[in-house]
Amino acid sequence: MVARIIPLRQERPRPPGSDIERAFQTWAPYVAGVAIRLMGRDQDVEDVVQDVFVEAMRTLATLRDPAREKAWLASVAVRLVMRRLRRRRIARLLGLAETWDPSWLQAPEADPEQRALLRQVYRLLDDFPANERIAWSLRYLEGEKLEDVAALCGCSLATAKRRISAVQSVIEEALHG
Amino acid sequence: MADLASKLKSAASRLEPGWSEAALQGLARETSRRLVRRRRVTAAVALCAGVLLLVGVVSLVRAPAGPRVEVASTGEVVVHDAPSVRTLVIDDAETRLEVVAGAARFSVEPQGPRRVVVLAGRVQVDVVGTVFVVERRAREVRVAVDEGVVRVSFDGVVQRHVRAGEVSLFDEAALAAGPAAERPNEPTAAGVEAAPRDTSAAEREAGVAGVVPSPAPGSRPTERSGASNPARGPKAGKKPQPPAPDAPWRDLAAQGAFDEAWRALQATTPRDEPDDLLRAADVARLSGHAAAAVAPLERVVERFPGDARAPLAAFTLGRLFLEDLGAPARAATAFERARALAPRGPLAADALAREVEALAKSDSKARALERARQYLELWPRGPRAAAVRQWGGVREE
Repeated sequence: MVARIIPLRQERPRPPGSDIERAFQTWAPYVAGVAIRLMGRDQDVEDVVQDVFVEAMRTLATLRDPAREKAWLASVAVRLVMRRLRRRRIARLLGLAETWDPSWLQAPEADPEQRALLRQVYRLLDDFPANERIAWSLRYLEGEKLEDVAALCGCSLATAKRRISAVQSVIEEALHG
Repeated sequence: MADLASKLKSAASRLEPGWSEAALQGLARETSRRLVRRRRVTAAVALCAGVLLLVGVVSLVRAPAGPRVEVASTGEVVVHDAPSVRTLVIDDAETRLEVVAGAARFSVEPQGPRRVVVLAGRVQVDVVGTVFVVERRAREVRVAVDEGVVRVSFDGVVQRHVRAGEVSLFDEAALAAGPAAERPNEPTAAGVEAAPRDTSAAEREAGVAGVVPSPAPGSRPTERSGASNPARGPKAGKKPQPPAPDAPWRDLAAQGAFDEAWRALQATTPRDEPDDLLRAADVARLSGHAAAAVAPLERVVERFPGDARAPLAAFTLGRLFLEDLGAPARAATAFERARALAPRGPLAADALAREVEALAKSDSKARALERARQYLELWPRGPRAAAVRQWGGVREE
């Protein structure tokens, strides 16, 4: 009897770049959502998403645990948004950029009350330094745990708490006061 | 508080891009294009950086370091930081230079019918157009060729051709004064073979150590003594004999023992003829007695103005005043004299350039500008044009 060896599963060789394409299809909407919430504007979101995946090009292929893709892409998005917010704040201080305008955020899915709340919050956030604003947004808009906020911001837990608290007190006073 | 947090999270969850499938695909394609562009840019930047690095390394390796002498196709000799290189003859037929001590890199452009000869003791290097280093060490003479070919002779007998990447070493027998250096103003048109010395072939060969490949341009050569044959002179390990205390100052100078030559010179007087006066000036200069070199050089200029070496003496005097004695005004006069003695000579351009520098340093700005313009009119692309422009304060047009 002649034994035939039949391969149980023959994997097709993956074309180059397939990891990044798959990751894009899977996570691009999520990254876009994070970017919109952190920036408080619809404009530039596509740029941020592209920047995230271009920067992710090298590292994504080396990630062994696919479950970490989401968290890792979020951390890249946070870093890039932080950079953009800092630049915008400096431009504002120099009189080269406008203050936050309600027309920047359409939020078609939100009801009128939610839209009013969001517009009020983003107008207030526009006056805070980027690192405080990002920490607060991650905690209250993204719903991240304090430990995750610290990790995403690249700071200690105490620093993350201090940044969140600095914004929270102003928001609370403005909304309740 | 909890109520506010809940409201905020709920409202924020409504903030989504709301992309259609087509919009997502379009963004994916655009991102892919950016990725390709980024890869290309990265590759191009890496390539440019690599090329720049390579160019930098090559230029570092090939960069002429230390004393160097350039001989232009016009016969003009420019000496950079090489006080121990002296010019014996410089005219339309021949440029004859001597390495009195130490090392110098020579860069010689093709000369046409003019001969360029470099002497180091009894070793003579005949040049056509090349870059090479001649070094007089304590116990040997070394000739290393970077580009082209030179013909190396010992006591007037051609030993071999040294090609690019090769080094020719001659042991200490080569350091003694040779007939070529003793007869600087008597070049022979027939070449080095026409100036044999009255010695046997074995004696003539005695100083040759051989040709060894150069490790790399710019790198230190392998130390080597070719005195493997006892008949070929003292062995490399043997300590060189100090010069005899009563040795004539000329022999001591030829061996590069300038301090001893200076002491010996104090007991005697150089002959009143250009060669001996120039040699005495070299001994004074190279033994650290710059001021004592002035008198013999002035003597050559004043007493023998018709001699072919008078312009050279005036030029050396100018360098002495400018570089060693801090007398730029006197240096300017000396350089002017060098030009007056040979207005069309090979030293004329260099003398005018140095005159501009001397005038600038003596605060004669107007004259410096005038001379600088003169230089730039005569030699707009001369090797010292940039320096002349700077010293003379000539603005770029």
